Amino acid sequence: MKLIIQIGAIALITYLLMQVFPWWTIVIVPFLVSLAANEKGGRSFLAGFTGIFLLWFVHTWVISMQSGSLMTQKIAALFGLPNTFLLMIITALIGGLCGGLGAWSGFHARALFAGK
Amino acid sequence: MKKLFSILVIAATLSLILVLNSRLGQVPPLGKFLDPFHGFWQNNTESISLDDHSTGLAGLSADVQVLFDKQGIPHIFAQNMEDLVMAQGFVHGCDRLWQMEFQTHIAAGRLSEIIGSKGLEIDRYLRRFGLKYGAERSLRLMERDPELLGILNAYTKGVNAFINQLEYADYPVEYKLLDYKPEPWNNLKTALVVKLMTFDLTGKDTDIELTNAFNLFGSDLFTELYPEGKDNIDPIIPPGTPWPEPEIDLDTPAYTIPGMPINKGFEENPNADNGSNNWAIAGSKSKTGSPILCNDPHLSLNLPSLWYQVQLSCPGYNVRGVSLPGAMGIVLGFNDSIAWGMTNAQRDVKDWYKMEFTDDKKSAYHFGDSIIQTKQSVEEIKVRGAATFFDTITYTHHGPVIFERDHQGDTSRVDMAMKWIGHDATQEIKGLLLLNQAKNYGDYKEAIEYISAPSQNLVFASVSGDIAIWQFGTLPVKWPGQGRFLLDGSNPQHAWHGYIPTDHAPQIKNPVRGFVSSANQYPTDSLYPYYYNGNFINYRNQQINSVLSNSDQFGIEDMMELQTDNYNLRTAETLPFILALLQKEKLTDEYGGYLNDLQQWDYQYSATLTEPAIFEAIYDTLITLVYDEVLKADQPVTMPDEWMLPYLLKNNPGHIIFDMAGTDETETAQDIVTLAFLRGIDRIRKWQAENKQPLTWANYHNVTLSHLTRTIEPFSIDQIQTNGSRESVNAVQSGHGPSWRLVASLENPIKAWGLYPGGQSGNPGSIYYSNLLDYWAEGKYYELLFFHSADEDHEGIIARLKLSPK
Repeated sequence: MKLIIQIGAIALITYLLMQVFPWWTIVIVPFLVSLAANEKGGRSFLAGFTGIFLLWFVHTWVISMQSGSLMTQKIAALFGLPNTFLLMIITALIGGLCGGLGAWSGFHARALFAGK
Repeated sequence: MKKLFSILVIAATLSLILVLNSRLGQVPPLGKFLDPFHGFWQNNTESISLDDHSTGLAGLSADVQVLFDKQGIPHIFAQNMEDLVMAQGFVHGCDRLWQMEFQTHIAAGRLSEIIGSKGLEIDRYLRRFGLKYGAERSLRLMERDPELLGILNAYTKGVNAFINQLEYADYPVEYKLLDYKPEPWNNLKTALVVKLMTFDLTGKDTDIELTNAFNLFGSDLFTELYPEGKDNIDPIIPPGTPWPEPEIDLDTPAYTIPGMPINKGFEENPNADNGSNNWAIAGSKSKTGSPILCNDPHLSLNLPSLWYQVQLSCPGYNVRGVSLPGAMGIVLGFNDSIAWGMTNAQRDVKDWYKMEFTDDKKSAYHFGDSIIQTKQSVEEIKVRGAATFFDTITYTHHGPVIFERDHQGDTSRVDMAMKWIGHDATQEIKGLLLLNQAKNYGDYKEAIEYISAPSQNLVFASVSGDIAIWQFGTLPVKWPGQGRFLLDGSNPQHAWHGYIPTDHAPQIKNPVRGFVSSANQYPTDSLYPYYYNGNFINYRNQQINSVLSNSDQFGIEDMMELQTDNYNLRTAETLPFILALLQKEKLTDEYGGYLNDLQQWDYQYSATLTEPAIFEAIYDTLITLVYDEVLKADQPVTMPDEWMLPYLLKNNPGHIIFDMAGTDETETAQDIVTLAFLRGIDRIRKWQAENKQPLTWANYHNVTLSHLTRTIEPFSIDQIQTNGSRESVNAVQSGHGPSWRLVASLENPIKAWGLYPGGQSGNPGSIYYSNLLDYWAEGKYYELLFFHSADEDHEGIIARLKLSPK
């Protein structure tokens, strides 16, 4: 339950802040959330990864629903990918990795401050 | 130990941010680029919202209304000229910002700032060539005219209003891919856009290549293969038109063509095939009784499209046509009273001078009996990811030194300075704005005075019934032969001595034959009193003139048919001789079918036919076999004119040029044609084996619109199924061809049809990136809507944008 709340908090806060701040918000927010939540290392990574993965994936999905995805198709071709779905997955994975590492760093920062 | 691990995790995370925020080789910064909130995903939208909306534009004095039609073309209605131009700058920015900036970076020799050291040689060459040098001089002249200065400033303000509101998410995708930022627009960039056009249309010459050809072939053979003029020319001005007495008569100095082969150094000539068609028929030859004007400029076909369609309207000014992104006004188009179009004059307005410097530092040079000091400037070329490169450019009174004796350490070269009209301070923009509001022939003539370069054949037709054509622009007076070859920079007689007066330039108004036309051919017959040379074309003009002479009842659809005419006169004049010379007994069975096809062909270059592909493969091979001496030369040598080979096949099949270098036998045209036939067919068979598509002309020559970077392939469009060929009126080639088609009927009110390959938007993620392409490829036209007020309620209007003072 706590994990789901964390994932939700990361996704929601990141979504709001990304209206203003650049892409690296997806590292900072999970870092801070994980710093605040007293969570184990592995679970913090999972929360950060999942929160950002979902946020980015859903957003690319919304864009592909709303547009003709002409640009997405061309960028997929440029990257040598067979379809746009794979580009959505890769985008979400890179986002997820950043989110996960951010959250995991938050856990370790907390450990450092706590002097453990 | 645990602490160390914690620090490592945090360090790894920070490194990941840094890596994903940086460009690695060709890979864009992936974190930034893939971010769905700001990265490329955001470029799936239109560059201008095509919903009704309004926005503030700082600097406007009153509201401006912009109506968008179904093709995404803006129709701008303003209260005054400055507001109008500011709005034009704004929409140019919205749709084409990256293209405008990229092209002006190239012109200014700043490509290396974007693409790194790969751009350095291009930058060095173009800085020496002096586009920026010419643009700066032009700008100083234009800014002395307060009215023109106001217009230049207004345009710049309009573009910058767009740039200033941009955030990373809104950047055109090329900025994100190449990872850089737009910089503010300025008036110099606008001047550079004009100089870039001058460079494209007059930057090509063959002075050095002809000098080398002279030395390769020797005087007699050279004179035979590279004659000046041609017997059966069908010039722009009908033969027999009386000419004025020349105002300047030059003494022809004794001149010896330099007897040495010359290497240049940089290789960056504009496409040699840049050319165009235009014509106008008088009311007496049209079904409606009003003149009809047609124009299709042939240029490199790129994406984003070279041109930008727009209607510009304010009190006293209402004009529609194509503009150049980066410059104000309309370059080609029509207004309420007149229509106009241009083709390139092809005149040689660029000459090369061998310089004799007094020392290795090039601080001074000999000129006549005197010694003249040079001026030198150090160009600072910033190179992305590498050290800044400093290049010293030496200026003589002829012009800048482009090629140097010791270029790239090879001391076999020659110091060459270049004289080019593109260096002159000129105000084409003023001329174009005058032309945009011209009401009649007199206004047209006045506008021409301000358009100096590139020299063009400007066709004109008016609602009041006049038609005219004028070869205008800065055209130097030359003694016979001057500037065909490398000139002597120390000989005062080799310098330019003034320009042909505008009134003496080739021109005609309302000729008896009822039409005017041009297709880059010789402008005049041999009785014209001034010497000129250039790179003149020979086939499209004959086809156009023959069709236009044939009827007095032309409709709009006939004009469209002529503009998209795929008949190739060169092939028609060549293939019968090739077939006659062919040693058919040497053909085995597998070649027979191809021969049969060619024998029954009507010389139409249609997309779905196989014959054009077969013929072109044979003819290309034939050229390389006949002119093998040219291709094997160690220095750049130009080929004889395009009509020379057909002429020799017909009249002189035993000519020594048909003998191949390096063989024991003495080949004749029969041998060479047969060899070319066999090798050409082999090429075709190889193509068929390598390609899965059927052998058709369109598949074989592969018409492609290349993205300006030439490296982002998914942004290009290839395999366009369309008709045409280099020598057809419909001059479609692989990456080159009709960049704009206009047919205008000078009825009252004026009606017009037209389109270009591509679309209004520069965004590859927009449907308006290439929405006009299908009709272009099919040879169809869109009616060009022309409104008289912003309040017009027309079904073709899909959105309205209101720009308000802020």
